[in-house]
Amino acid sequence: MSKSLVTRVINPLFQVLKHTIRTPMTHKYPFERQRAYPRTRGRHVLDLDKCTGCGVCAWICPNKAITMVEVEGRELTHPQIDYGRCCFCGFCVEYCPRGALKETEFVEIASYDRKSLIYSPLDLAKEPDIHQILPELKYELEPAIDSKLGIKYVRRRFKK
Amino acid sequence: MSVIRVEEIEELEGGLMRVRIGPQHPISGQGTIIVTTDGEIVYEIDVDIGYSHRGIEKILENRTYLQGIVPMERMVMLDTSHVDMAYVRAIEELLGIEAPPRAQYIRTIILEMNRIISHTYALGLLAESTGWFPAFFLWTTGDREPFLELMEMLTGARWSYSFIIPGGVRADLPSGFKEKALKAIEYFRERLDVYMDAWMENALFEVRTRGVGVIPSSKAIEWGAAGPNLRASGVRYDTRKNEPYAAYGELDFKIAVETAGDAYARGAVRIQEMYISLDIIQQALENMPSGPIKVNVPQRVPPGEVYSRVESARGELGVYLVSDGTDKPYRVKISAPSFRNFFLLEMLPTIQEIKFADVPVLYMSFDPWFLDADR
Amino acid sequence: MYEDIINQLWSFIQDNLKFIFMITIFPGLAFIFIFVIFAVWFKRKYLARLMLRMGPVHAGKVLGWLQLIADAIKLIAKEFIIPRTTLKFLFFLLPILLPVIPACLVLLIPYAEDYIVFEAAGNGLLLFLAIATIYPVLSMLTGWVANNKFTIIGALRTIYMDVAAEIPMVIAVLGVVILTGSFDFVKIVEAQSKIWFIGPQILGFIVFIIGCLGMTERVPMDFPVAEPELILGVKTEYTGPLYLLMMEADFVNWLAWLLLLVTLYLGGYNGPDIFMNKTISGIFWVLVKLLVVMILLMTIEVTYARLRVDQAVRLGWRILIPLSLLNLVISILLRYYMPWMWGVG
Repeated sequence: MSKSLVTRVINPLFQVLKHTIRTPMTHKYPFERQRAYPRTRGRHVLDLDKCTGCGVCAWICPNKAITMVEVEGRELTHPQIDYGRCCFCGFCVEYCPRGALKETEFVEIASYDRKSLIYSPLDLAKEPDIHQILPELKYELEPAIDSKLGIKYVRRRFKK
Repeated sequence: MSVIRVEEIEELEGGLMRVRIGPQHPISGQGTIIVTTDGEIVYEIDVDIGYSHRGIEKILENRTYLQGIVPMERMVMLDTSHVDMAYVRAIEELLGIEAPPRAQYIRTIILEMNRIISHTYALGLLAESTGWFPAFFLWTTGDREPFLELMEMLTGARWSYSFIIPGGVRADLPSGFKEKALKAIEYFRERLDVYMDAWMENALFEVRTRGVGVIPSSKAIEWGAAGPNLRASGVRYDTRKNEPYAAYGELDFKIAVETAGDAYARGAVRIQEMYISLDIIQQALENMPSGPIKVNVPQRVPPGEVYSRVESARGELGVYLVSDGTDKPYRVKISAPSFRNFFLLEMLPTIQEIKFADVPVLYMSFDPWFLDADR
Repeated sequence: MYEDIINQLWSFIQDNLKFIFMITIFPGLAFIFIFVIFAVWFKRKYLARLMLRMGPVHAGKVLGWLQLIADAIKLIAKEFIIPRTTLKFLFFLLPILLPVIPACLVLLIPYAEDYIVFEAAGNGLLLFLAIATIYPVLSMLTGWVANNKFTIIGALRTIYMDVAAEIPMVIAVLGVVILTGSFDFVKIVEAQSKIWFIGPQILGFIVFIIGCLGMTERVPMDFPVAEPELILGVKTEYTGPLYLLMMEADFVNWLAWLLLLVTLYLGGYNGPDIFMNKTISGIFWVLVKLLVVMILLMTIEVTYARLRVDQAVRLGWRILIPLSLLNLVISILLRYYMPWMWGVG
């Protein structure tokens, strides 16, 4: 025991009281949302013109979440992703030879039944819009690692 | 571990009762601990695993070597990249190739950050189990955030990285990673000092954990303790030093060893290991060699058997891989550290008298994870 | 005939207007309810700040005070789940009885020189301690009646804690009684007009705080509700509206013991007269001191781990009782040599 008994009882109190002056780490979601990084793996976006229907993405997927289906009005087959099975590993993005499949930072994919989790190629071709899912979203938090606070968030309003 | 059937949970003699600290309990995790007690003194502890068994070893037989990384990671929630590393190390040994040096350094950084992420969570749970209203748990959960964000910057995910593949790593460090990582390390060093002040030197915490569950070093070796539990009883064993892998052979670091063997020593070893991990990350960032990050790897692995070991946050994790020449493994057997640590909990009432109030403290000081034990 | 009764009632009200005001508004029912709501809100926000998060924020526009009302409504709307193997009458009766007992204690404290609800013939402190010992017994009964392994262990621990915390605390309080020379609350507060008793009775103060944490079931002595080991201790089987009543009992008990702490050691209603009216100033100073003590005890609750029950008993019998006896000896000497300091001739 390097310190005396009294110090070991009183000192923790001061250390705890110092935390009242730090800013809390809470995000008031859904009014503010943190901006993610370029490599974040979320929902996919498909570029229908670049996709050749080779099927490498379906072959490499560890959970067999991708199946190649036919699309009306186009002659090649394109991938259809079942988000109930997708584990967001990113192998399909990395192994696509034409770079047609990309992953965005969008992670709000929840729904009420399993059928609507299967995204057809036309659904995947649309870019996701965060303001449709969260209509109350007003602020965006940009994270920056700081040596005093851990992470500091800069709050900005969205520009419409 | 015996299996206690439902009919056996009846009136015992002498006023004893069997209390199930089961899956729906604030401290138990995803399994059951059956405690035979008379209210204060514990006579027998029985751990009932199997609640979270998912059959990962069988799943891996139907996935190629690259695809097998994904279910392998989800075996344990917290130190995911260590499990990956064991599997990848086994594959690379059978293939006879070695990953390039830059990939080894990046792997080291990921492994050590993962160790920090896992140890903070374990320490938070230890503090909460001593009855401390969850202040400390929330501080540690918040202080992991810089490291989780760094991992997201590097790999794209917060805990299931899928980044270490046979042949190297998947991508290079993004720009600005080194400065941000150094800032995070500086912040975390200060926070570790605050934890030492407010928590490890807190009189009531010491009263609660000193002398509780003392395991002498001979018993620790005999019962198969793993990881920090072994090092807290005075045994100097660390796979990173005994069998170096992934750039540990070129870095200079110490091992954290304590001799007391009680719950306090196990917490102290974990905090010391976090200080050491910060040193390792700093060294690896500064001495990073340049070069390629991946080599091409054939799909089919030549037949053979190999056993590879890795020091995960909970102890030594081993993967025994049997390959038959195709692109899918024939058999993968995983030796999980938490499975061995649970045995320590069961054998403790035989050498020391423990009270019912000590059971959560001991349970959390071994840092077991039911997901790890069940695979 | 009805006019007769109404006339009698009206004259009774007019004679005892002050008494009725004290019973219903302050410090009676309205004050206790408002204090419980305020204490729960304050606890949630303050402890959240210590844990680096915000408390309730959304319901009630920034301060989040409507969250408590929402939680109370949710608890009332739940169903009554009663285990089959209990005594149903006791199971229902105990949560109703529990908040009532500390509420009586609140009425014994003086808030100003002429503002005390129940004089108790000059024996206020004795009556307070006598009534307050019923609370742990009832707490233990709630654990026993629920007939569950976890609650029975919690009930056993309540008895240990009662033995460990209460005896040294009563001896420490005796030090105050010796310095003043009587059990009357008003005289105790008057004796602190020169210096508050926290100074000469510092050892007694430490013993009293530890005992107070034990009697109000707070960490580091919160054995009846020992969350990591027993799921909620004695309160495990109570759901819905019964749980709401038990939570309220917890906070009213806390209010009663905090008021005792303020009266015995921090000078009660003594303080500079800033409102030009002694009654209102007295009440104001009591509330301010109450807030300060509340913040101090909440911080203690966050900082320390919980003791094991045998360690608590060992602490109580080996350390606290000798300390309180030493305190008693010091107070006897102080009273003998310096009687003019405590307002006595």
